[in-house]
This record gives sequence, C-alpha cells and structure tokens, in this order.
Amino acid sequence: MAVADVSFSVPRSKIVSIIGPNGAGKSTVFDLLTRVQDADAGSIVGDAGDLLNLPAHKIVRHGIARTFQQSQLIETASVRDNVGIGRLRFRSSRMSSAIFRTPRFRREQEREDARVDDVVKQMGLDPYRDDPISTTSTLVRQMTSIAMAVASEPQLLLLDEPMGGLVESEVQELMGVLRKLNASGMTIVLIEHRMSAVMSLSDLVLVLNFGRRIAMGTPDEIRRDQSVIDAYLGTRRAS
Amino acid sequence: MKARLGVALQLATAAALAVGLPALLVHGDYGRHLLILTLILGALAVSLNLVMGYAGLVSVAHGAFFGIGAYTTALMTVNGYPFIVSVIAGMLLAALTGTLLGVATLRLRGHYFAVATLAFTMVAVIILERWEEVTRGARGVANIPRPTPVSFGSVTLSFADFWPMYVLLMCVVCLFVLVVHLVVHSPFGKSLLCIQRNELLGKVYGVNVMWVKLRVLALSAAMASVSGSLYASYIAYVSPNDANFMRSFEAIMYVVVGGTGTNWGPLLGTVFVHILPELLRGFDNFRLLILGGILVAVVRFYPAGLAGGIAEIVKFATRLRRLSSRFQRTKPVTD
Repeated sequence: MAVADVSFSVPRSKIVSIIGPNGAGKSTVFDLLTRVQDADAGSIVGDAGDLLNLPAHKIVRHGIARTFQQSQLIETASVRDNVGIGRLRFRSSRMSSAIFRTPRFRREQEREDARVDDVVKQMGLDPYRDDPISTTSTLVRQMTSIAMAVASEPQLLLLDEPMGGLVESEVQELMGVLRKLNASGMTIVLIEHRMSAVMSLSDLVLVLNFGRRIAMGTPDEIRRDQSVIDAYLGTRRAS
Repeated sequence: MKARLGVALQLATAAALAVGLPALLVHGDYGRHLLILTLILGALAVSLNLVMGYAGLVSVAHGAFFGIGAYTTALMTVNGYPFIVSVIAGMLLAALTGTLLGVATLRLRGHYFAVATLAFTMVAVIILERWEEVTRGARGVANIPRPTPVSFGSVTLSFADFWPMYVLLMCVVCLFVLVVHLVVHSPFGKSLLCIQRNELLGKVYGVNVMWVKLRVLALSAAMASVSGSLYASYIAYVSPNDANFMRSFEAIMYVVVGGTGTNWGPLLGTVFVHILPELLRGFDNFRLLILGGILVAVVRFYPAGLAGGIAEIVKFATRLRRLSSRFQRTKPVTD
C-alpha cells in the first residue's frame, strides 16, 4: 500500500506543500486525487462531493488540474498546442461539427484560440509559442506543463516537482509565477524537494513518510518538528 | 479559419492530382483496372490511417469492415436495391460492428488490440463462409451490378465505363482525405493525439478515452465499408477471401509504406505498392524478391514512410535554397 491513513484538508486560496523522502507516497496522493489510481478505501471530498465517485476524465471539470513529475507533454507538438490540451474540457468534441465546420464550431475555435494565446502570454511562453516541446529548455517545459493546467481554469492546481531540473534563477522565476497564480485565487498543492522554495512559498506543509502523514503545519512548525527532522529534513536543512 | 479551409482544399487538390494524373498516363484495360483497384484500396488505407496513424490503434479488423461493405452492397444490389442505399446500409452496419468491437476491446492497447481485431476478422470470415443461406458461403456472390447510372439532362453517366467510375472513386478518395484532415484538425483530433501519444495526459485533461476510441473506430469502419462497397460493385463478385486478414495486412502495408499519420501517405503507399510490381515485370521470377527488398528498405530507411521521406527531402531542399540565397546576398561586389 503506497498511501495509508493520510488525511488533510486544503484551505481555499492557499499554497500547501507536500514533502517527504522518495517513496513516501507524495505522487500517489496526486494520482488518487485525480483518479489516475484507484483508492481501496477512504474518501476525497471536493466542492462536487466525493471525487472517488468520478472517473478520471471528469475530475478536471470539477476544477482540479495537475502536472506530473515525469514530463507528460507531447514532444512533437508545439508549446501552444500542448497548452491547448488544457482547454479540451471546454471544447465540443463532436465529429460532425468538426467535419462540417459549423458556425458554432468556428466561433468556439476562435474563442478558444484566443484563450490559449492569453495563457501562453500570461505564462511568459510567447517567444516559444510555436517551438516543438522537444526543442525547448527545462524551464519552458515546466512552464508549459503548468500553463496546460492553468488553461483548464482550475480552482485547485496540483504541481508535482515543478522545480525539478531548474537552476536557482529559474526557480525564482517559477516561484514568481506561482505566487501570481495564487494571488489570483488559485489554490495550489505542491510536491517539491527544494526546501528553500517550499518554506518560502507555502502556507502549510504536509509531511509524508512511508505512505503515512507524520506532520502538517506552517513552515515554521514543520522546521521545528522533531519527527520531520528525523525522517526527512535533518538538522542542517531544518536550520 | 479561412486559412485552414484553404489548407484543406489544397490537400484535397494535391490528393486529386496525385491520384488523378496516372489516369492520363495509364493506357490499356489492365492499367486502368489497376488504377481503379488502387483507388479503392487507397480509400481503405485512408480509413485505416485514421485509427492507426492518428489514434495509434493498429487494427487488423479493416479487412472485415471492407467485407461488411462489400457483402452488404453485393447482397442488396443483386436483390434490386439501389447502390447508394446499399452503401449507406453497409456504413451503418460497419459502424455498429466497429462500435461493438470497440466495446469488447476497450481496454486493450498495442499488440493486444491488434490480436483482438485479428480474431474478429477471422470470426467474420467464418460467418461469411458458414452462413450460407444469407452469404452464399464460400461460393460468394456473383453478378453484382455497377452503381446506378446518373443522368444530367440528356447525358447519362454509366459506371460501367472507366471515366465515370474513375471520377467517382477519385471523389470518394478526396472526400476521405478531406474528412480525415478536418477530423484531425479539430478538438476531436487533439483527443486522438492524446490517445496516441499520452493517454494519461488525455484522461487528466478531460478526454473520455473510451468514448473517443469508439467513435473513431466507428467512423473508420464506416469509411472502410464504403471502399468495400465500391470494390464489390466494380469487381462484380465477392467471396469470404475479400474480407480476410490478408486484406487488413495489405492495408496496413499501404499505410506503413506511405507514412502513418500523414494525410496523403496512405494513398502514396497504395500507389507505390500497386505500381511497383508492374514496373518490375521485366525481372520475371525475381520480381517478388526485389519488391520485398524495396519495401523492407523503405520501412528501414524511412520509418515515417514515403511521405515522411519526401517531407525530409523537401525540408533539405528548402534549407539548401535558403543557404544559397544567403550566400548570394553576402557575396562581395567585384568590379
């Protein structure tokens, strides 16, 4: 069992970080929240009720979007096309309207193209708009993953190690973007190993170890928590 | 939007030219027969490409869908139903069968899906062979009439002649290419892309993977059935052999050789595979050996198929042209 006895709630418009050693079950929590993996027991309650009653493809309609630890972007598609995937939930996927290009289809197409362009600009991806993902830098890839999630207009954004592979200046840039998104009212749950970023960004920190919750509190409380220091932070990182 | 329609029209025109030019170059009854068959099987390849090239589902069931169209048209037209009614009936039946097949194979991917569709094709052939009261068994259905002649005032187009049949087929092929282009360049196409490249991503962003698979399979099956209807009507005879897995494998070969996931690649592949043996006739008994070698070489050196190879050559030529124009611009002026 990757995760057991993990209970936590995420206050609206806050940033909550999940930390813990490798194999602690952090990504599994995201997989359960987005129904990518099935839960054997328990409940996940959102605004729409118990999310465990919903299939994976309906989760995004309830305002939950996520990124992945391993890039899941479509390598041959452009940055813009990847971001556009985030808008699929707003699109009519009727084949007939695609074939006959009905006026409604065309209006929707124009509206959605404009919305994707807005998100691309908002995330600072305009210079790379038409570049295939395979040719872009790690920062652009991470930003594109987040932009894809943002394009789906979530209330709750789940980010799985968005700072992985970034240098310090890029981390600062990304933190600025996350602060802006949070300021716009978006709730963010972040899995991250970079403690400086976690402690600086988060309102609350959840610590997992071996699939169990060992602590939850403000960054200061977590820094001082002896069980967290023993299991994950160590004395140097805690100070 | 206008630009996109423009591209669609350009593609359709290019496809029409690519397939239409041979009609002017080909002489003799045999050449014309070969051309008509190429167009019919090209339509089958385009339909297969929709699921194989764009949704990543390698279907070996397309021989059976082709057979469903062929048999529906054969049995209906020999009993006096108009050709067009038989085509529509075949499409509906194939779409329904495709949907049922989709439901049964929903959770399968890759080789597992291919094997399941192969099993489906084998079952379809057994039904055609054994259900003699309806399908006439292994004897097949003969004397199938050509499509009903069309009159424009005093002019009547009889599809027993080459040109009306050729133009009809070309229209069908262009229509198929256009439909695939429009479907692929739509939100539905983006869902297909997700299914092909990353199903997990699609699911997380709201793509109902199973529903999309079902619909694309139904559309592709209906298109394959149209090519079967045209085949039955043109050859005037169908037997269970026309629906077997060899037909499916032929279609897969056209798509792979031409270029999976490219709009006009499957057509190119069909033309190549059909015309090449004729060009190699001079090699007598070595013909098939050379043909096999060439096909293996195409797949080995052009994994993206002929269409991908041509695209690479065009890209290379464009780069060369740009380089040469830059070189000319920077050439020093001498007295």
